[in-house]
Amino acid sequence: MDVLITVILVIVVALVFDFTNGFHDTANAMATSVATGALKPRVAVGISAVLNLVGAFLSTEVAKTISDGIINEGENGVEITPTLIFAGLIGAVLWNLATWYLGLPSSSTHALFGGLIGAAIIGAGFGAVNFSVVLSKILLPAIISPVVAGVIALTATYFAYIITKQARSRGSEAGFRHGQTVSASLVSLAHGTNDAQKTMGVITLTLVAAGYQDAGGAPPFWVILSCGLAIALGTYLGGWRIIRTVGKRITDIHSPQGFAAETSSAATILVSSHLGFALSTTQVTSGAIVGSGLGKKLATVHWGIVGRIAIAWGVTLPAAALVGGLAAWAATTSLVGLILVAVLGAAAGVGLYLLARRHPVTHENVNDVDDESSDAGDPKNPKNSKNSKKEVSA
Amino acid sequence: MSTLYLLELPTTVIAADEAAGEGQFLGVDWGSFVLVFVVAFAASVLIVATYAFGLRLLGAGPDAAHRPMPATIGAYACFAVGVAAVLYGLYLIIPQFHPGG
Repeated sequence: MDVLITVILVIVVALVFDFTNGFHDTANAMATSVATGALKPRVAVGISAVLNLVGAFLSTEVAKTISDGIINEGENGVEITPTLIFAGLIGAVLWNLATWYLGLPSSSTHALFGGLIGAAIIGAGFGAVNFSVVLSKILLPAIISPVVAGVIALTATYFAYIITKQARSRGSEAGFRHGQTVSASLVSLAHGTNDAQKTMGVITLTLVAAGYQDAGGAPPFWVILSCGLAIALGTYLGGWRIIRTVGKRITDIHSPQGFAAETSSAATILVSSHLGFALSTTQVTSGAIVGSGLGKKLATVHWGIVGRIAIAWGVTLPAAALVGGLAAWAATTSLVGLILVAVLGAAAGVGLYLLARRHPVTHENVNDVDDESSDAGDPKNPKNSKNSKKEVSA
Repeated sequence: MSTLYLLELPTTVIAADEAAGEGQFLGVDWGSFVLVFVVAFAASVLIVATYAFGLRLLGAGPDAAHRPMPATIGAYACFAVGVAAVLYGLYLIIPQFHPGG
């Protein structure tokens, strides 16, 4: 009975994680399209949601281990029990909600790894974690990915402007918007094939660990369907707070920049995952947007915002690990402790949601840039937010 | 190089990263990283530049009705590069197209 309750809790929290993953990462593909007006906000998240759902069904190959070598799993290492997975997921979900509240893009994968690391340390001590793999698979790529994508997008943006005479040649603005829609859609589809699959893996491996399914099997259909739907729903509801940061606050994106940034992101993500050096989607797209800001003459990159995002990336792993560790500590004591963690986790999630409701960001005001960034914004145009509101409603 | 590497790093690294070999430092395969960078850079710049060039050609002439024929042909040739890139991207994304790898 205990096992069944744990497994049900894991599945529920895994689907919630999948949902937060979707609405966290809508910004990666669609923020630039929303910002440049290439797509209406609702249409953008709709396309992204459908492509994430399609992606979930395209790729259902489950990883062999949950942590990808970061935790010593298996015969000589820690046994990652459903309770530890549950605790790790709680850490990841709460971190995703906290960064969403702050409107900061951060990697959902890193939050998941952070939560699992914290849970594993509580469950089995520091020896359970392969810190060298943490370095090579999380820390170094987190520094490398945005720089690589930034350099590529900077160069691509530079050429896009040079070739089209600063986008003043007839029809070029509109043309870049069409191109941007296509490359953003590719990013969405690639995201669906990668990220929904991670949750499928977590649920399937939990079912295997609890003895409900044979090891090495494909995920059951209901797992694929529910994961696909969870990520698509999250994507559709859209993390507008993050979309605003990525599309408007890092730099004010115009269609040539949006096209260059999304094309660079799509190319970098696809090339990296097929040449065996996988880079994080969030970090690649964020880097590409900074690069596209640097590649345009006289465009401003708001380094204050970039700095906050960088700090969030640095904190993601330890913060999720701390919550995951606390959750693991309480949840492994007894069934009561486990249920208490679930209740507290849900309360914290609802709390962040209610906090966010006080300053809601929706598809209607996503392109308004509020006071908080006005110090870095355009001082010559204080009515900026009113103007952009008109653009959206038009 | 590889012997030194094996001597110097704790055993967990070797256990965790079976593919450890030449060109690795801090557990990162810098060779494949450089390859990723070069290929992604070349692909992105090529696609963006040809698409931009296509748009520029499409905007040639006094207006759309009086665009010189070579410009039109050139523009569509440029867009063909983009279409090919998108199709190849779909091929890479969708695993059913390459069951072997």
